[in-house]
Amino acid sequence: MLSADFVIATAVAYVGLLFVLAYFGDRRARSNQRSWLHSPWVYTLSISVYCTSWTFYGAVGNAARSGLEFLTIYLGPTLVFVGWWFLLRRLVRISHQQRITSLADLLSSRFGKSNRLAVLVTIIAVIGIAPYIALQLKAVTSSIQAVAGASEFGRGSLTGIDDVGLALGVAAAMALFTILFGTRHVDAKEQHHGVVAAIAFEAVVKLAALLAVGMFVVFIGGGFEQIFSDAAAAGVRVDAENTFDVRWLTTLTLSMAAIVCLPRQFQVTVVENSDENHLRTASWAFPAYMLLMSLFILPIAVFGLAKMPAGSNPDMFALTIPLAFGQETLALLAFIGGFSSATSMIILESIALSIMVSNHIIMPLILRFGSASRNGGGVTGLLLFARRLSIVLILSLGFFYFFFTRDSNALAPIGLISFNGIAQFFPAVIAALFWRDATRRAATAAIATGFVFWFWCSFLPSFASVSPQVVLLLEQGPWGIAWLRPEAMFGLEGLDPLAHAAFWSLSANVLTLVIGSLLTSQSALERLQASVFLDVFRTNQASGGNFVLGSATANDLFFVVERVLGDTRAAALFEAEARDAGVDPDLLEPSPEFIGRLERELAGSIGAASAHVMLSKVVSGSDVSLEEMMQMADETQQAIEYSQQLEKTSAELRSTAQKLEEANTQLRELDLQKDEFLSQVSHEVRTPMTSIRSFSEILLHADDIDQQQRRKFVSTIHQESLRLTKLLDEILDLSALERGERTWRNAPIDPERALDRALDVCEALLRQRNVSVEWGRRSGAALVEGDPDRLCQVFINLISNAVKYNDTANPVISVSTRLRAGHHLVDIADNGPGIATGERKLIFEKFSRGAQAAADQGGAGLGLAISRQIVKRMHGSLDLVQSPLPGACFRVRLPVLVV
Amino acid sequence: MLVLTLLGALLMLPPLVLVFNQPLRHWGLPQTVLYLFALWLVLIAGTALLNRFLPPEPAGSDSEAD
Repeated sequence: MLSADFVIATAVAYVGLLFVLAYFGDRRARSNQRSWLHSPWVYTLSISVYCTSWTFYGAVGNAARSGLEFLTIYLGPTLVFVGWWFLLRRLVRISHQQRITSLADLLSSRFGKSNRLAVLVTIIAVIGIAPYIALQLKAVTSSIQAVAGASEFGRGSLTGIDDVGLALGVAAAMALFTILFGTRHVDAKEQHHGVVAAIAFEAVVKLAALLAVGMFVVFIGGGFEQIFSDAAAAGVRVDAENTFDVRWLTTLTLSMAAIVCLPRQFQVTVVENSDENHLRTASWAFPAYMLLMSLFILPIAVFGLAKMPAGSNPDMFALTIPLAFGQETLALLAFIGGFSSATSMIILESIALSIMVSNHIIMPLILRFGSASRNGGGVTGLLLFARRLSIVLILSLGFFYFFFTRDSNALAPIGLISFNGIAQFFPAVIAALFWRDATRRAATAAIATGFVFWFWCSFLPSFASVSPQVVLLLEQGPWGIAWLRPEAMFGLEGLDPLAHAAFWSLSANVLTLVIGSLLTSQSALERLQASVFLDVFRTNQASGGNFVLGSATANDLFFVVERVLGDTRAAALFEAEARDAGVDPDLLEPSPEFIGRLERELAGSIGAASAHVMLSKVVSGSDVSLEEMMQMADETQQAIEYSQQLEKTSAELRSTAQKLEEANTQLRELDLQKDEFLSQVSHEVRTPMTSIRSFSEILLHADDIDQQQRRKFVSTIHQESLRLTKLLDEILDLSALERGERTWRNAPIDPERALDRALDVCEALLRQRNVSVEWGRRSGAALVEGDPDRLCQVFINLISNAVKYNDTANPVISVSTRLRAGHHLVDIADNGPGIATGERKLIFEKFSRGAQAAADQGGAGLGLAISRQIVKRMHGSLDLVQSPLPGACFRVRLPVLVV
Repeated sequence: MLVLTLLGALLMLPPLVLVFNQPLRHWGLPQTVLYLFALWLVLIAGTALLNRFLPPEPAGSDSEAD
């Protein structure tokens, strides 16, 4: 016979085996990335942690009590996995990109890395899961009791220990195992390969055990047909008319939500997923696993109902039927199977929850009170301690729930309470993945509202069996308010309590979420995260630059990262980044992308919100160093200076361009002048050349010219060539003067003496033309700077002009000099015809002559131009001024040297 | 895939499921039970089949690479 001691020893040995398996699985997974542990089959089997002792024991009981309803618990997840392409694939991809560690992390990350939301989710999850843990404790306890109670000496060392004591023992043992299993180290991605391996092994064990029991039952029952016939004969009906009512819909919906939102399911399906392609296999293999699990549940249930003594607990049929037929080995296998399903669930659930608690509640507290910065030993140890503490807390809660509700006997209803609680996350998760406008405040309010309704309508009533107050509440409502009765809210009576609770909580939840999102607006970070989540398949890049480059040095960052991830992993990260950037690790400048990556790595260990807070403290925290500020200011200054320089340069360029344009215009004018000059020169040269040519031709060909004629011709040729030479000399002189090529010596001279000399030279001309010179007043001796010969040339030119162009009968030249305002002035006027107003400006140009005089005068018209150039070289000016006589008056104006 | 999922959901919910909820027996088993398990099998097989036609994920899509 089986004794309780033996069974317990077997269980302990089994857990020992699991531990060994987990240990080696861990080592194998670490050393070899491509081991069988990374196969899609292990992944699928680990997902089957969904089938807990609720399935193993509870489903049989459920089938015995409510017929086919138990199937919905497996059909709902089947639908979710069949549609994996839409929901699960998206969830896995996002979680990989964002290093999501838990459901709370997912929601907080999506809704602006809000830690408050993460805390809310964590608290609700811990409370909501308590009944579920209690269910496992109850199942294990009952199974031990069932085995022990089957024989008179079976109780062994359990004598005198009641259910509660046993459950406490089980809970304590489970806590110990979970701590040993799950919290040996903090992994960067929160993947526990060893645990997953153990879970997969347990999945095989429980399936094998249930199949064995099922086949045994079918065998002794005489086949499926016989069993159902016997059951029908005994009055057991499975296809009741009322199977497919509101409850069917409710449980289906709740199980769909649960397969996504249960912390342990999220952990194995999403977090522990190492390859998205594994989901492909799991999408049909996991439903197939569930189908196999449920295949024999109905036969076991109806067989048990028909054959087992009345009053026996239908939850324990899988165990008690083999015992009743004396199959102790099979019973032991069944026990191990049930134990397997319970342990795997408890281990994973508490690991998942402990990650949530430590990342979202304990870490933020540590960060807030800053003990981490003082604790040089690192956050890792603290984190592990926090997780261990959370595991104990979670199992304690489960135990207390078990303690208070120990009198209710069915397993499945307890589990459904949990499902309903956990389902409150489902609307927010769906909104997080598919609705861009869902806001943080709306999601928080929705989850909180749903939780309140669930707590009131589902959680509280479960204590009815131990608390008379709760019973009173159920019957009359709080303070006698009938419409607030937990199982008949707002007068909605007659509905199944579970459907009632699910309806109210989920409706309120969805309504709050939708209306809240429409009323509130998102923060910038939320919008950013929303687009990261919704566009996960569109953009391949993960969100990075949430941080502006503040004062973070690689050193500061390393210090932070090292404390969380440990020395080696942090060093590896920084070295990789330095290698990518191509710089020495010590000189690494953290780029925003790198900080973004560090944040995700940290998020893998401590959650998105905590990681964000932690890095924010370093990166954009209050302590932007003074040097940094100075440098930033400097950089601004430099930028301003640079732009100013640019402005200046461009102004210079503008003025240069303008100058160039002016020069260009001038050049074009000069070019025009040159052309004009050339045509004038050729014109001037042509006249004497023509006469020279014609006279020389006559001399050559006409032999009959007399000597006198000949002499006349030759003298004309001589005169013309003299004129030509003079013209050419003048042109050369002018061009030399204009270009300033000729050496020019300025010396102090007396302009009066130059004037006297010029008059002396012109004496003959004056007398020949019978011109009288009138002297005006004279300035007396003065000193100007200039060349005496050149100045004399100017005067001669002016006097000869005055003589040449004067055609009056009694020609007069008036000469006067004076000193005025530092200048020495010489006026030479005549009583000739004067210069027409239109020509006044032109007479100083080359080759221009007065219109009247042009015809018969021999000058080339260069005299005034040359004179003006000469005076200019002496820093003076030659102008036409108002004349005291009827004719023209030229004034030479030279600056007087200060003596 | 969407069609299969929605069809599965429709077929296992009232009112369609009620069509098969008759107190009939085939090979000694209640028709409802047979119907639900058959539907379940069809969903599993359909998913396995459909997955062959879906484009595979890029190998090693694990974000270790980023």
